[in-house]
This record gives sequence, structure tokens and C-alpha cells, in this order.
Amino acid sequence: MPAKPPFPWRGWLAAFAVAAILAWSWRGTGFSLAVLAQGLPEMGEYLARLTPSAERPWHARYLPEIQARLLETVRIAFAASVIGSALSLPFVLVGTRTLAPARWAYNLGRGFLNLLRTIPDLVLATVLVAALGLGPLPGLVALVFFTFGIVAKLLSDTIETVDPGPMEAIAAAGGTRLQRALFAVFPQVAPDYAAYTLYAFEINVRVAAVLGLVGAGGIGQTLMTDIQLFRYGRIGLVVFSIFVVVLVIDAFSTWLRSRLV
Amino acid sequence: MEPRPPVFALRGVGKAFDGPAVLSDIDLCIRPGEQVALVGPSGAGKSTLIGLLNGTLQPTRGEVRVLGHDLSRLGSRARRGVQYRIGTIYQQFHLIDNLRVVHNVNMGHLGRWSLFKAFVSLFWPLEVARARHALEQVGIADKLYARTGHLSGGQQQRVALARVLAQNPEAILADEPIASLDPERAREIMDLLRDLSRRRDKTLVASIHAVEFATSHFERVVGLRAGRILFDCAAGDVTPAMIDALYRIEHEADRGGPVGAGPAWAPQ
Repeated sequence: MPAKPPFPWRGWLAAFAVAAILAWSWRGTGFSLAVLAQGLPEMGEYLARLTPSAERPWHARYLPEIQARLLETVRIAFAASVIGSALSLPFVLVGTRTLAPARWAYNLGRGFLNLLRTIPDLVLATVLVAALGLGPLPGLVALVFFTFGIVAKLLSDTIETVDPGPMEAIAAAGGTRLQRALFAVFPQVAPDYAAYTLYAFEINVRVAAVLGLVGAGGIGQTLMTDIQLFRYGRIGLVVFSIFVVVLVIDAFSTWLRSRLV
Repeated sequence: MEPRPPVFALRGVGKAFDGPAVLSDIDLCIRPGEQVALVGPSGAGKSTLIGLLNGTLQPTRGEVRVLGHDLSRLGSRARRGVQYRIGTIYQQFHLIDNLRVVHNVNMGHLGRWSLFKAFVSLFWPLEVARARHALEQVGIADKLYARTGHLSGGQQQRVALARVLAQNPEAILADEPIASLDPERAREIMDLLRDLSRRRDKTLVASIHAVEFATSHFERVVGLRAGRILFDCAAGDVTPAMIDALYRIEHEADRGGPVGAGPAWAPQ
């Protein structure tokens, strides 16, 4: 008798579960195509108000402030990316199974990292604004934490997959744990490390652009004021400027990363 | 002349990972200047034995003495001091591909260098003359600043050998040093290994698959099978019957024996 292939219960169960959760989520958001269709003209109208026109021109006199705030945004993102990834480098000495001095140190390090990564960046920024006051500093600190979390996580995972041969060779010849990290591990992951830092920078530019919404500096602060004052011409120019800057930085950073790894 | 103490002395040594013993009842004494080949089928425990000799592994039974020291009784600093006097080369070379050759050679100094010196050297290579001299002896002085990953397998094994020369240990261990090389490159590396260790009066212990090299390049041959020493004699006394016994595929004798497969990390 030919054996019948077993019925793929698990696959069907998973598909059913996903469909059920999707339906539940959908109802929860009150989303419907009718509402979307009704809203479409309004969205078009809003977008039209953002484009330059005779009654809402994009004045050149807006530019100095936008430029200054955008520059602040990029500076927040850049500084946070460099500082955050620099801090993640020593972290891997406890956050990586192959480099940690003991199992408990590894668990502690990974636990701290996971805890840190559960805090949404805007929540962190809000708390820091309360603690440090309005301005770019709380934004910078929030993004340092964020960058540290993301780079430390990616770097630790990469280090655990690296060729352990050179580490064994150094240990066999009397090298210490830190020498193993320095000579056998860091050179192997250096291109990945640079790529992760750039990747974090790309995200940071986008996040830094909205940090101003909670008062943490950058172009978001300008955008927030303009939205509150219904200055559509300025909103349009600000959104367009953010779009251009993010696009250029993204393209450049992606190109640089493709050359690294 | 007063006889020097043995470089390696093993008494009743056994080693198990999470499972059956990989090595059992190993008694072995290797004296300074000896050239010893370890032969035996895959999974016989050759790599594990090399790991015990350079201190990356600790025995589960018995005692391993390296240069007169029981490594398991030493603190980490003292242990590293003894390990620095033993050099190892590997089948897979264990070099850092995206570093230049000079840094890979300088890895041999880490047992002696401070962390700070090691750090500086990664950016501004130190002791370059010594590294160049080591590379000259293995015939690739022109590759000092080449990217290691761009070299051929034979050249990479020469770099690994230069790393051991820079380390300047009292004994050289080689774990399947030629198993990844073509026959011509294999012969060159074996010649180098023999000549360099003889000329500098260094002890040499190498595990190799190719039995013909064991008898032509070494003075003593140790046959390992299923984690035990099957024979241990002068290279000239090895007979074809002994080799047959070593590699014969057993159907009864091995069944239920002390050894299953080799350790998970043993070279293929």
C-alpha cells in the first residue's frame, strides 16, 4: 500500500491563526475601505495645500531656519550614531558568548540589552526632555541609547558566527581574552561594524527628524510649530526638505555600506 | 650532559566531552628535540591529543605535564606563560583573512605583548624586522604586507608557520598541517616543518593522515586508534601490518568500544 503524505496540520493551523488575528486587529482599528475612500479627497486637499501656490508660497526667507534645524537634526543623528556604536564595542566583551568571561556575565549583558531595546525611542526622548529640558541634548542622548541597542545587538550576533579558529590559535599560544577580542575578533567584524553604524545612522536621521515633536530638538520642532499654527506653505517646504535630506543621506549611506561588506 | 626533562609527559590520560571517552589510558613521553608523528584514522583522537598538549583542553583523567608543569594546577597567568612556549599550526591555518600578513605573523607575540602593544601594532605594525625574518625562513618575505586572504593555501600555511617562528616556542605542534593542501604544497610544508624544527632543535609533534610522510619526515611514530595508543615506535620499525591494523575497518572489535565519533570540532 503506498504511504499517504501526512496532512500538514501545523501549516494550516498557523495560517488560520494568522487570519484570525488579522481579522481581530482589523476590527480593532476600525479600518474600512469606505472610510478610506471618503478620506482620499481630503488627503489630496491637504497635500495640495502643502504644495507651493500663489496664496501659500515657499518663501526663501523660511530657508535659513529650516536649514539650521535640518543641520541640527543631522548632527544629532551623526553624533548619536558614532557615540552609540563606540559604546557598543566594549559591550560585546560581555554580550557575546564567545568573549564573555562567564556565563552569568553573558546573561546579564544580554538581559540588559533586551531590556534597553524594549523602550521606544520617542518615549525615552520624552522622559529625557523632562529630565534635561527642551533642546537637542535629550534627543541626542535618546538616540545614543537607541544606536547602542541596535549596534550592540547586531554586532554580538555577528561575532558569535565568526570563525573561532584564530581565537583558538591565540589562546593556544598564551594570549589573553582581551587579546583574542582585539586581534582575532574585531578585525574579522570591522566591516560589519562599520556597516551597522551606517545603518543606525540612516534610521537615526529619520528618527531625529521627528524627535522635535516631543521637544527634543531638530527639524521636528519647526514642523510641530508650523502644524500647530496651520502654516501650510511652511509645512510643505519643511516636509519636502526632510524628504530630500533623508533621501540623499540614505542613498549615500547605502552605497557606502555596499562597498563595505 | 644532564638530560633535559620531557617536553610532554602524559600518564593515564583520558578525555571525554559530553559523551564517551575520546581518549583513554594515554601514556606518552616526548623528549626535547624529538620529531613525533601522530597517525590514525579520523576520530581516533589526534586533534584532542594536540589540544591537551597545548593546553586548550584539560584531561578528564590522568595528568598532562607540559614542560614540567601540570597546566590544570596553574593560575591563568602562569598557564599562559607555559602555553607561550608551545606553538601550534592547524589544518585550517587559523589566520585572519582581512589582516595583512605582518599582523598574522605578529599574533605569535601575543603571549609576550601587553594589550596596549597589541593594540598599537594593529595600526602601526611593530617588530616588522622580526616578522620579515620569519617570513624569509618560510620563503615568502615578499608577502609581508599582502592581504592574508588573497594568498593561496600553501602560502597561508607558510604564514601560520612564520607566526610560530615569531613566537619562537620550544615545541611545535601541528594538527593535520597538510590535509587542506595539494600533494606538492603538502611536501613543501612537511619539508619546511622538519627542517626548521631540526635546525632550531625544536620538538615537533604533528598529526598527519599521510602515513608515508610519518615514516619519511619523523623519527618516531605514534599510532592512535579509537582513542588509544596502538603502537609507539621508531619510524624505521613501522611495518605495513601495523598500518593495516591502524586503519582497518573493524566490524566486531570496535563495537561497544570506548569511542564513537570524534569530538564535534574535530577536523574533517
